[in-house]
Amino acid sequence: MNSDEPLKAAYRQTLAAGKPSVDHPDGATWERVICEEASAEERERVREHALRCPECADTYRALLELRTEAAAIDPGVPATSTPVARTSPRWVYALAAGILLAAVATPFVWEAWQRDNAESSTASVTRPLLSANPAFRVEKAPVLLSASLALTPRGAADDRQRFLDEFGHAIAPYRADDFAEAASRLTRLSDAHPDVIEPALYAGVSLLLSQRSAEAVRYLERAKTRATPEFLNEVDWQLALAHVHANDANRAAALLRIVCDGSGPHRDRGCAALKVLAEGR
Amino acid sequence: MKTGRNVTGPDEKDRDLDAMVQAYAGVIVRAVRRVAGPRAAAIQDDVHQAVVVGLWRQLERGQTIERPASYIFRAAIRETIRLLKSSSGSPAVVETDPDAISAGRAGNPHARLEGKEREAAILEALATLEPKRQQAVRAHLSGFDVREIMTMFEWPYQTARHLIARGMADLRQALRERGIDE
Repeated sequence: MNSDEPLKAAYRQTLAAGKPSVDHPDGATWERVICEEASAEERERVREHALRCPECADTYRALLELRTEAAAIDPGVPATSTPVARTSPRWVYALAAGILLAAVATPFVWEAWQRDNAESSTASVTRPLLSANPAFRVEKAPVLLSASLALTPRGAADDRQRFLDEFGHAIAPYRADDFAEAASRLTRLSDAHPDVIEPALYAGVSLLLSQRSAEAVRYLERAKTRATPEFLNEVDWQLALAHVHANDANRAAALLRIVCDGSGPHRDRGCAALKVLAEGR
Repeated sequence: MKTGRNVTGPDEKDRDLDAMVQAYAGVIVRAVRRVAGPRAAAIQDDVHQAVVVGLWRQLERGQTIERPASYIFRAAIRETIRLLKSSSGSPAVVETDPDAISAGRAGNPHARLEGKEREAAILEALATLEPKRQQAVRAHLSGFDVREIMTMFEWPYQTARHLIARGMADLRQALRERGIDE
């Protein structure tokens, strides 16, 4: 998306050169929008204003960032209404098609598996059936900071700040959807700080989104050994996806069972994926 | 750290609140630096302490704190807006201020006309986009990332990605038709 930068600059310049924006949202309005208390009309009014006012766009972005990061340290932060896993008709059809395909193909896969060398045939035959299935689609995980990192004891404040600065630099391309660069920066940071979960988790997700599944497994397994409760569901889900994409259905199944039996945000997708995996094996 | 709140000595609750305020100050500074662009350089290292003080002031304005956690979040929203406003008034803004750019063009009529035509073409091209694509593109060009756009419009991830990608392709095509190759 870096090639869009000149257009972004031109757009902001165009807006700034136009008529000065009026009716900026006041502090109370921003508070209602970010605390999810505004009406649909008010939210839309603020959103449309922000898309035509660079100053308010900055305010909106900063407040969304504030809410995302604050949610990791403060249970009182209102949850967002982002439909990360909203089920759409297209998704239902794709999932149904995947299940049907798996059901039809399973006997042939089984024959092929029995005929050929077990390891190589599993890799070549199951890959298109499983990893290409929409049930195992990889999506970007939201950026969270663990409470333990944000609330490090006072004496360690300097180290914490230094690390947070490094993490901010490494996570920037991830936020901008440049996953190859994110993987490069975050793997370096994780190797330097193997005890901290965040670089390992987002390195793993970046590698997975860059189709480097085997490497993703390594970093996500590191993240799992350090995962605190607020990260566990995300790590298990991403690691399960990484195993599927790396053609290790057994390990994926074990993790998907944990995700499906839990109460985390990936439970529904975990159960659906587990079903597809069972049908496809 | 002296906050003005721990007058009678910090008990456990105050310490927790203090730790939360410190954590929030870090979050606020990072959020503002992220959107500040060229202005970020003007946000000094000591701003963290100023934000801590500002947050305590916001908190002390409240009469009662029935839901302390969400109350801190509300104070953080106000403090973030305050910090953004104060940083936008910094001298670092001048170099990238559109008024300054326009002033630079004032001595060059050709450049000024070219700039005006380009600005008009961008707005015209945007107006030709299908409404949802136009919203996605305006948000993308305003600096919002995919996750933020999902939140703003309540779109699923794939929808947001699709609308941005298709919308940007449409915008480039519309700009090319107007003689602009971005």
